[in-house]
Amino acid sequence: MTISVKNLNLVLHNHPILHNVSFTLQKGTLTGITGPNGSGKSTLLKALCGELRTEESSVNLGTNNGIAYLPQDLEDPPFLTVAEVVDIGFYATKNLHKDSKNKRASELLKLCGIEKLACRGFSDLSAGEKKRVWLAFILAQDKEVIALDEPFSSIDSVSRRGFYQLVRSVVDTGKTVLLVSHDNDLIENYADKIIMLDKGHLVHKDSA
Amino acid sequence: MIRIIANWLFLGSTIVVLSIIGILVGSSDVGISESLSELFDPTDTVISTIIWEIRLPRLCLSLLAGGCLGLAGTLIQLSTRSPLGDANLFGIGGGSALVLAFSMAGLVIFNGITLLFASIAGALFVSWLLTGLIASRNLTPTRLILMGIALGSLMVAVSISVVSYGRVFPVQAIGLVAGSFAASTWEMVRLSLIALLFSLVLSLTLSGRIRPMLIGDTLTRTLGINPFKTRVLAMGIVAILTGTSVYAGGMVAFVGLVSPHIARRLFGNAIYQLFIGSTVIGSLLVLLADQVARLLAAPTELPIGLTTTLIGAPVMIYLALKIK
Repeated sequence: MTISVKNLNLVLHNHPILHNVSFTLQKGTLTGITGPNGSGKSTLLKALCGELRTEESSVNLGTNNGIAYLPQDLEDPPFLTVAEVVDIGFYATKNLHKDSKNKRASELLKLCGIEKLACRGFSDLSAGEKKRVWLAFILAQDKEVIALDEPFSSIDSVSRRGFYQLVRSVVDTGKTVLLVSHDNDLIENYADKIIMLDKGHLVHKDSA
Repeated sequence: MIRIIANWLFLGSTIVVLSIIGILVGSSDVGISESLSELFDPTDTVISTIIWEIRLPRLCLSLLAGGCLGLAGTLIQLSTRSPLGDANLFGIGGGSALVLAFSMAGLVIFNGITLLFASIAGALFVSWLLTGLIASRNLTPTRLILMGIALGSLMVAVSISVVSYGRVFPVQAIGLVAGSFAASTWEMVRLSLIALLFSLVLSLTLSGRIRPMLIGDTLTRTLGINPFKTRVLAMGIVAILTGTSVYAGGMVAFVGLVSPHIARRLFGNAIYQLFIGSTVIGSLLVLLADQVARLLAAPTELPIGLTTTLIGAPVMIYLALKIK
């Protein structure tokens, strides 16, 4: 399976945001999307996830399973514990038996390093811990393609490195991950491919 | 599990004890033993009327109105992500009160079931207005609270003006905005019971879609749920519940705010337990408040809102301190 994007153009409020963006991605790879502020990184991700309307023909995800998308601005869910937030991620996997769901949930908590936080209230966590919970939430949806928009902003650089390793291990389980980020150095270390945007134009496609 | 069963038993037995007080004790000169014999073997017309036509419907109606407020509070808090969600605080009960004020003042004529429907319509107007504002103005939970409180104050002020204009008895006017079950009838009990059961079934049916709303609209959409439609439905049920509670006993403050938080403490976040738990806790709180209102300064009746505010205001201050 490959994701192919062909001549993607996007206009928002009469402002052209993306111009003729084309690329293809292989299954089971980590692709970093970088570029300066306002270059259209997040917009590209939203267009791929169907959050923004584009011409149907320009994006081919190569899967009917859809994309699990984690937007940049997330508000704390009130009342819920960590385990309950992850549990909501299973909403779309209704056919899953309760036992296998519970098993999968504890696997995800372990993978994301939050198994000890399972019963804690979400809003009591640190920024880094919250991001790990959201990642587990995204993985619970069991989609083949995962899109993360600046998932590591507001996290210190040490935990950020740990995060990239975590995302890398997710890719190694066969998921295709698209990641919008500012960290050019880190992304070069961990990504299989880098897409660089500037003012809505694709300026660089690199297979690291 | 044992703790949850113990909590249910505690709630159940408290309701039973308060109900017995509600039936057997009152401001009239009827002794407890007389009340007891009249309850099971009605002979004396005056005493049995007091028990069967005054105390019992009042007891049932306070339980039902409380249940409505508790469940409505849970639905608002889940669907708007606001820990301070409460039908009367957000002006939804005020919408009903306004319609009822027009009716009390004799400016429009509603009776029985049409009065209930009018009350629900008033609540529906405000609840869908808030839903529309959340969608079009992208209201955060905090801004929604401010908007709701402003709407609520407006509704109460206009209701009081309408009631004053209509020269309604002060007791009736106070009952409308601060709660009273003094005028309970079996007809009100029947209609409120139907409305509460109907809303409870709808809520349980919709529960699977309401819980994910807590993670925010964007993420809810990625799960394949339409957050706007879900909120419209949830707030529609809130309007039925709130309209019923105001029709039954006026605006009883803070029950909708407090009940879901107590239910969460006692039973956790499991959605069925939360819905049913907050309903039962709402019933218990209003029943308790009504007994205090009836008996504390008997034969003078105090407004129910006195007791519920004494419980609710500290809880709201505590929550306001905790919210980030």
